[in-house]
Amino acid sequence: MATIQLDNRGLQPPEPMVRILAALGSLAADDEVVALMDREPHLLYPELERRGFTWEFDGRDEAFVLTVRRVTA
Amino acid sequence: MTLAAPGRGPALALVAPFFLAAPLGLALAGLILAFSNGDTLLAINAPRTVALTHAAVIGWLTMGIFGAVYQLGPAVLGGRLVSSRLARVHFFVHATVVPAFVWTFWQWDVRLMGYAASGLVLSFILFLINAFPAIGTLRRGALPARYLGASLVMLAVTAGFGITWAGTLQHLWFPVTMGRLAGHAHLGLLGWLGLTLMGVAYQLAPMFNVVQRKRPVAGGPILALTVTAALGGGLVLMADPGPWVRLAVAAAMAAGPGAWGIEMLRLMLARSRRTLDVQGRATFVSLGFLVVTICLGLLAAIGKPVSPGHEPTRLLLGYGIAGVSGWAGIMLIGNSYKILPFLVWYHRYRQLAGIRPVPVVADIYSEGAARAVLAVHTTGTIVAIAGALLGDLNILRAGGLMLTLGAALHMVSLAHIVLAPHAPAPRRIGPGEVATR
Ligand code: HEM
Repeated sequence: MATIQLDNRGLQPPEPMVRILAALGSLAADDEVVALMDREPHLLYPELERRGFTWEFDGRDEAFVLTVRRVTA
Repeated sequence: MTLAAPGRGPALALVAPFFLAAPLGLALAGLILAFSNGDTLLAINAPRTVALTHAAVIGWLTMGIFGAVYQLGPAVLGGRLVSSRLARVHFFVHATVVPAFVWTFWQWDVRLMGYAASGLVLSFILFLINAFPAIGTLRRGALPARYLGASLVMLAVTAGFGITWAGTLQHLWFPVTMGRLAGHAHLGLLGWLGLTLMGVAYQLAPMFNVVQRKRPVAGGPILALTVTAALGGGLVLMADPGPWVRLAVAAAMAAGPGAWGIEMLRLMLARSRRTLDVQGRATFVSLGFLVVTICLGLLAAIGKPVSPGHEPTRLLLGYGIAGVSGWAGIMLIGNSYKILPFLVWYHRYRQLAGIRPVPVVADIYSEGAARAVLAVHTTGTIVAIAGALLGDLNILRAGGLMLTLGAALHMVSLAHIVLAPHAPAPRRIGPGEVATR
């Protein structure tokens, strides 16, 4: 299982979304993308769903963390 | 950890009409200013001035804010619209009622004014049904959502007084004194427009100018202060108080936006993105007009002794133009060049992102055209303020014409964003790449 780490803080919209979607292209079944964010990416979620991914968002601390994985059957 | 429900971006066809129609309100207000007559400099409640005011605040700023709330609520604050169809009906109702409402003021036809005012109340109700869930107030305590929640309540209060004033103009229940006029006006200007723009700026200014090192420190207290001042001050003004109380109310009303302005300046100066685009420039220009608005507002509250030509109307008019066209208007213009291009990007390119090269938001609007709009509008605003303060009708009219020209340029430039095809510029984002602009 591999983890692709992205630091998406300090980027203008929609760059964080584009970086995450670009990273997903090479994601194997067990891999995950973990992205540090400035804010919750509400508009990314429908696109993740459409491309067959699932996600968790941790918004408790100052740096928000989004984790994305492939939906497993 | 929370598993978030999928967000739903509002349709471009739903939001874009609000942004495209808003400059028509500004163009109308500019034209009315261009047709100012002697009364404009003598009475702040002259029919043409009240028509001009509502064309600007309801036709232009409120129309634009409607679009911004429908877009930013679901996109940034995680709320949802109850019904997209309702929002479309709302656009139709608002776009139809506003010109009629403004016309009844121009003609000072108090009977028709009542009907048009009822249509406007309907428009606000349709908006509020969608707006409260759209900003997700109940689910999250984010600062912009709290500002927007408070401003929506203020819109309802303002409209409540507005329809009452329209009713009494027709049925003569009681006179609309200058104090009652000022109370309704400030509930709308500070409570609705001010709070909304302050809240939206807390979200968009750091987001698009990339402010990471500093966070807002006084957003909550400023909100409490502004709500108390707008509501309490608005009600006190309605009792037609003497000059000292008026001055105290003016100082209380200025305190919140003043503190917010300092906070915005702090955030903007700490930005990582040093090159200012039109939104960053507009933020600074708008803050400059906030200072002018506060100074003129305090002088207007003192009244006759400090009024140019001993005519308080001129000071009040200059103050209104600075606040509406300068502070609030320029903030809205700047943010339009982020909100609308992002929405277009989202609808046209998100499905391709990460798969093929896609343009960045900066490719979707013309920075040159946007800056031209900002320059013409800012000049028109300064000329109109100067015309009001100098008591010179010709300068005032010239300012009105420039504002109309700026509005026309703005509308063409926004229409281009929505309708034109966008060729990605050479520094477009490809799969795995990051644009650095
Ligand atoms: C249903 C909605 C509204 C109605 C029916 C309404 C009605 C009125 C009426 C009848 C007056 C003039 C009173 C007079 O001169 O005797 C007035 C003045 C004014 N209203 Fe409204 N209003 C509404 C909403 C708003 C909103 C939302 C704002 C601000 C955002 C606003 C800002 C003002 C201002 C600034 C004035 C003073 C205009 C001047 O002195 O020239 N109004 N309104």
